[in-house]
Amino acid sequence: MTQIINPATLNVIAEPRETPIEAIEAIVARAQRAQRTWVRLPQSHRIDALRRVAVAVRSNLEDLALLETANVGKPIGDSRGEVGMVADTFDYYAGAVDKYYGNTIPVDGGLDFTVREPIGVVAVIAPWNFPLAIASWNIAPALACGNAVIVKPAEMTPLSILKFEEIIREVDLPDGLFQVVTGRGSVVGQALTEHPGVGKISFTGSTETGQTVMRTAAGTMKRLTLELGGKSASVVFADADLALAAQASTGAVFGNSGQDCCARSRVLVERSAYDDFVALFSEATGRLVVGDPMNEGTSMGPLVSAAHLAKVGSFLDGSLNILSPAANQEAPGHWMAPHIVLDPPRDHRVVREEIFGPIVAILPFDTEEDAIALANDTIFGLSGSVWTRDIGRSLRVARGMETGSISVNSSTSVRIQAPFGGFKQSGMGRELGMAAMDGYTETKNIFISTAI
Amino acid sequence: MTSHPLRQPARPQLDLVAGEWLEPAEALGGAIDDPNTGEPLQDQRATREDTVELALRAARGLHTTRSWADSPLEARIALLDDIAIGLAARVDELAYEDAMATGNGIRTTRQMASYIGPRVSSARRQLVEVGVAEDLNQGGRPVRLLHRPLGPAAILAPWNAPTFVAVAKVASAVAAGCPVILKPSEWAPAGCQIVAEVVHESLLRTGLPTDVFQMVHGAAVVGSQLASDPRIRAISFTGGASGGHAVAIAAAPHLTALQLELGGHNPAIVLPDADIEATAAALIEGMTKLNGQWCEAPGKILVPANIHDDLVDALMVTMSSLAIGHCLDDRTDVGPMAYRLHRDRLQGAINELVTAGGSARTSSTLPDLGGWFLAPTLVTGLPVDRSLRELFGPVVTIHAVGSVEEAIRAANGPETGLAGFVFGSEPGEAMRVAALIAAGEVRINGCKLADLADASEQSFWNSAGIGGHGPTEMVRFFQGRQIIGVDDPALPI
Repeated sequence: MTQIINPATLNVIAEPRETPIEAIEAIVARAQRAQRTWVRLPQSHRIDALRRVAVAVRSNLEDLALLETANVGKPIGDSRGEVGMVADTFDYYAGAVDKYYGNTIPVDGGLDFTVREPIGVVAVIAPWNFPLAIASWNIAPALACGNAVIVKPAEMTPLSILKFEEIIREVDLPDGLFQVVTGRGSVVGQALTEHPGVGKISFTGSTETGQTVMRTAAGTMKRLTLELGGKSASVVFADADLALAAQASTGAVFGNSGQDCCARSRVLVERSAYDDFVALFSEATGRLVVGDPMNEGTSMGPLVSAAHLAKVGSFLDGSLNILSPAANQEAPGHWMAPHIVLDPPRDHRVVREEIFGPIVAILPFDTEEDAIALANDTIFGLSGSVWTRDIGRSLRVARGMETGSISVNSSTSVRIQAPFGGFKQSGMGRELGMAAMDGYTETKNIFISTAI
Repeated sequence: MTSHPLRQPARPQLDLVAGEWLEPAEALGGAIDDPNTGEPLQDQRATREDTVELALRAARGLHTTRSWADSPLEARIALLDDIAIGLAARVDELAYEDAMATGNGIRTTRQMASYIGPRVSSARRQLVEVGVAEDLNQGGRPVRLLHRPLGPAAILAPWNAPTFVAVAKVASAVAAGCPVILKPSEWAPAGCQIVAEVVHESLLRTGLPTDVFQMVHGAAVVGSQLASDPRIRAISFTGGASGGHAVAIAAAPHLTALQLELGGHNPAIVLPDADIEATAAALIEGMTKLNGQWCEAPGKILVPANIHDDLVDALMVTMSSLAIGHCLDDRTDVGPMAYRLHRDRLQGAINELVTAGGSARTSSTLPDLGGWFLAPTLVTGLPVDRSLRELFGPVVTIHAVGSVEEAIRAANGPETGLAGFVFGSEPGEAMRVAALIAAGEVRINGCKLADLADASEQSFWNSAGIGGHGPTEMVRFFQGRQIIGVDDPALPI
């Protein structure tokens, strides 16, 4: 049994049982049977089922949002937005079912074409920072492509996914098509990753754990989508709208209390604008409210756990020049105010490692080349932003950055319609958009001879 | 004799040194027994000298690296929060072990146990309030006031509220940034064993150095090894006067910072206009709370001669309604005394008071369980100068006095300093008299245990110890102040 703690109150809010390892065999077998039924259903039936999932989510939006906030500590408005996105994701992939198809390839002697076949049973190992939203980015396309899905939420944050499982019972999916297992990654997650009946793993989490998943999955040659860590950068040139860039860049790193793989935890600022930008950024940070995530006016809730708070705190060593312009919450709870580290050495941990908390390093750069080199000087490559009014430069820098998604004069990373995923050690494969469908299908080539 | 259905096997007693669990290698010769029945449950054990040395070395080593001493606030807060949650999850076990160690009724120990996790949160609040540094910048000159941990801290815990006190001190020292070595009382190690498990697990979970918390066992020898070691920079001792004096002497050569929470012979002044029934009810509550084994319990009652007999009668009536029984029984008001030696010592003290001319009155029948039961006792008929020493059990002496001024003089004896009580109907007069009692905390018309106000502060006056309680006192005790900054050439001297 795991104690689920509300990180804003430290109250125990649930004590779910871990799925016993012995049960995994039967769970996978049920998923295999359900998948064979599901894939044979008429397209219209599958489209309709996914649309009904979206409807069920919307009609339970508040309950799901409350659970997400109680479990993760994120502000209630953010939770409502995420649950809304879950419903939109199911709608998008309901629409994708009959719009994803293969090619006809000119060959001699017949007709050659490809079809996209489902993989079979896929396991989605979801993270704790956006538990239901990120799970849905995988559940929806996997089902749309004709797969069965087993979801394992993060050990600390299973509540919204368990509730989701409960509310979509009314949708009447084939028995076993969607199942949830709970517990530790090293036990339950490992069992799924080793199981020969599971054809694909989609894992979202740390790069370190992603490497373990990849090693384990090698034993049965599973397909993988890995959405891992990041050390993304906002690159701000002196000609940018500095006030807007500063305002947006606080959200880009302190949103979800920094517990976001896309967090721009480095802001690289052209040296001539550095002091002005720091003043604007610090002022915008000072307006952030750290507090009870149930309050509509809160911008940042607590961090998810004591262990995580300790880990994030460890980045703040005495050698750094630190600003902390927003007040921290003093009540029990894993609170941490936003911290701004000014011009740290480029080889310091705070510049090189993923922090996953409310700490940003602001560094000056001298030239465009220097900015790109500094932005790329990391093992990660997930997200990023460029702020400039110079169109040519914005494109040169965007193309030069080794990162899976980048926004110009904006701090967004994720849109349901667009592919999302990482370069380098930020992962492999793409979520969202039609690109996600590639990850949930195999390409089959069929040749029909016209010789006879 | 059959044992109680809820009794469990004794919890194994282990050292936690340099991140490893070890069996304490030495036998002290005595046994920890079931206080209800007297059956021995486990040997009292002590950590070997060289293992204590390892603990000292590990604590000193950790402090020297400064990885914990200079740890960010977030790391300490995370640890304290995790410990608070861990302890809250084990309230039932803590309540059981405290009941069996002290003889206190399980109803009371359950309540005490439920305060243990919140006590860690209170240390966390203190830490947030005190902080680790303050900027005192003077114009363009940087000046910083640092609140730095004193160094490795030894916590020597008592047997009467063994877990609560240990946790209060450990949490405060950890919050301050000290590596901590806890030594539970040799009479009550089991609750601390749970605490050690919780703290150790929290350290592992939060990825913080395991040497932040260590535990060793034993009696005076181990206590003195810790107290006399120059690597220990702060000692918090809670217990009896003789132990406290020994710690002070051991600590003196190295001028180690000391916090001593000792006992007191606490006076209760009953004013002529006091409500007799309510006064009796409060005094009985006070003298039997935690079986009377708490340092702020009333010890001697000073009452005007004309209402002396009425108060005695009321006390005897209230006393007769107390349920004396097995400490695991939910109905029990007063359980057995903690251990045989203590019960015998109390019985001896009562006998002495009787030899000196007092009469001992009880109105309870003791359960026939074979353990260390002692009937709550009222000793009457003695001049007040024959009741000078703390008893630490459900025993009070009551003395007729001729005037309020005589009561005040009599209240301030050689062991007055910790707590006092005043009973009276006119608040102004009661407050006046209360201020004349030379003790750190004087309560009017009640004998509760919790603080009178959130901002309550008290010093341990006279023989009651060194230091005190206050909203940030506990964390601040384990810290020293350091000011660093750029000098000002304009200063005249």
